[in-house]
Amino acid sequence: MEVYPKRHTLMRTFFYTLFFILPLLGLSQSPEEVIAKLQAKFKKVTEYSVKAQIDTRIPFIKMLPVSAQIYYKQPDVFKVQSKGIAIIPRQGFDQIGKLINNSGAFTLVPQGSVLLQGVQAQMITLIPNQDTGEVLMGKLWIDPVKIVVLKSQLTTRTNGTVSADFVYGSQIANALPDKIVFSIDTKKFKIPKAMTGDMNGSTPKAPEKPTDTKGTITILLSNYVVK
Amino acid sequence: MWRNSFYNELIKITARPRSFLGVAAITLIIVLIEMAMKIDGLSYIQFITAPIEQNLIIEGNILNGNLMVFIILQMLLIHIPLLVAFITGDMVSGEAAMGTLRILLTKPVSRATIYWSKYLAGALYTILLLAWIAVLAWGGGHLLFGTGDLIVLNSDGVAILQEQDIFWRLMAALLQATLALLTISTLSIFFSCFADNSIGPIVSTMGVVILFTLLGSLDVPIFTYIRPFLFTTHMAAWRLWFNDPVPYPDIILSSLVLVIHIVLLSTLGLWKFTRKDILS
Repeated sequence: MEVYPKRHTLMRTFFYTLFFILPLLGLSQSPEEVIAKLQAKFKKVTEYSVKAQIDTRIPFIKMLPVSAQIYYKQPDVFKVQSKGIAIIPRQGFDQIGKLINNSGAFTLVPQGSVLLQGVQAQMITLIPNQDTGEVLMGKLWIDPVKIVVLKSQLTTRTNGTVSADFVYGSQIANALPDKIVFSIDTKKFKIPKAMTGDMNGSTPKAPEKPTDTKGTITILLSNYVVK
Repeated sequence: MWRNSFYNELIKITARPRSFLGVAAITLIIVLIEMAMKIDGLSYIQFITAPIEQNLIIEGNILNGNLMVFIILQMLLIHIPLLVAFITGDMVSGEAAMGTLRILLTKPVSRATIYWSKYLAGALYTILLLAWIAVLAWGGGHLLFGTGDLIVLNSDGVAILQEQDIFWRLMAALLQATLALLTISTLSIFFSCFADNSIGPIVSTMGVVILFTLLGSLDVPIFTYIRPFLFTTHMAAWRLWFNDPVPYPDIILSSLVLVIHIVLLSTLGLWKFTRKDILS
C-alpha cells in the first residue's frame, strides 16, 4: 500500500520535469548563449538587397509613403536608394546588427520573459562596459526558439530613444524581417521664419497647442535577395 | 485704336534701358544663386535640415531643380517689386516730367484708353519678368541639379511633395505671384498718376511695401486687426500652393484681397488720370 504513492510521486515529478521545467530551462538560456546564436544567424547573411515601402508618420513631417531599395553588405555597408525623398530613423536597421556583433562591449543582463507577438520572448538588457560610447543602453526582446529579435529599444547619447518592432515572414531563417515599425521621440521642430520665407502668414496663427512629438516609421520589406 | 495705343506703350517700355536692366539683374542673380548652390548647396541644405536630421536621416536627392525653383522664387519675390516699380512707376509721371504727356493727350484717343494701354503694357512687362524668372530657375535648376521630390520647409514643419505633384502647384503658385506683382504695378501706376517726376512713384511704392511688410511682421496686438487687409500680407500666398493639403480658403481670401486692391487702385488711378491737369 505504501509503494503506490511513492511511484505516483516519482511519475508526477518526471512529468512535471518533462513538460514544465525543461522548456523553462530552454527558455531561460543565458543571455550570452542567445546572443551568440543570434550572432551566428546574422553572420550567415553576408549581403542582401530588399524592396522597401517606407511610411513616415511624424507630427511635423507631411509626406506620402515612398518606395526604396535597401542594400546591406557585411560588416557595415548599408545603403537606402530611393527615387524620391525618404526619411528613415538615424538608428536604423543596421544598429541592432552592430550591437549584437559588438556584444562583448556590453554587460548582458537577463530581464525575464514577456509575451510578445504570441511568443514568450526573452528580454535582455545591454549595458555598455564603458560610459564613453554612443549607446547608453539597449534592450532586446528575443524569440529564444527561432532566435530572432522581436523588439528592440536603443537609447543613444545623441539620438534619444528609438524602439522598433520586428515582424518576420519568409526570411525568418535568416533573421530578416518583413516589417519594422520604428517608434521615435522627435524633438520639437522649429526653423526661423527668416530661413523658411513664410514671413507674413495670410491667416492669423492660432495659439500653439502642445505638440505631439511621437512618430512612427513603418517599413514593409519584400523581395529579399540574400547572398 | 486702343491696340495702337497699347503697342506704343510696349515700344516705350522696350526703348527704355532700365526695362532690360531689371531682366539683366534677375538673370545675373539667378545664375549666381544656381552656381553657388551647385558648388556648396549641400552644406546650405544640411544647415537647414539639421533640426530634422538629429534623429532622422533624409535619403534621396534633396537638392534638385524643383527645390531650386522654390528657393529662387522665395528669394526673388521679395525684391521683384522694386524692379516692377522701376518701370511701371515711371509710365505716367515719366512722360509728365519729359513733357511728352501733353503731346500724347492731344491725340484723338480718350484718356481712359491711354491709361488702360499704359496699365496693360505695365502688366505685360510684370508677367514677362516673372515668366523669365520661372523659365530661368526651372531650366537652369533642372539642367544643373536634375529633378526630384520637393522638400518645403515651413517654420513649424516640413512637407515633402512627390515629383509628379509639383508642376501644377508651381504653375498655380506663379499665377498667385503674378497677382501679387500686378498689385505692385497697379500701386506704382496709381502713384505715377499723381506725380510729375519719375522717382517719386517708385520711392512711394517701395515705401508702402516696406511699411506694410513691417506692420505685418510686428507681433503687436493692434496690428493683428489691420494685417489681413494689407496686400503685403498676401504677397507670399504663392507658398500656400506648396502646402499639403492645399489651403484653398486661405488662397481664395488672399486672391480676393489682392484683386480688390488691383480694382480699387486702378480705378482711382484712372479717376486721377482723366482729371489730371497737365502743366508740364
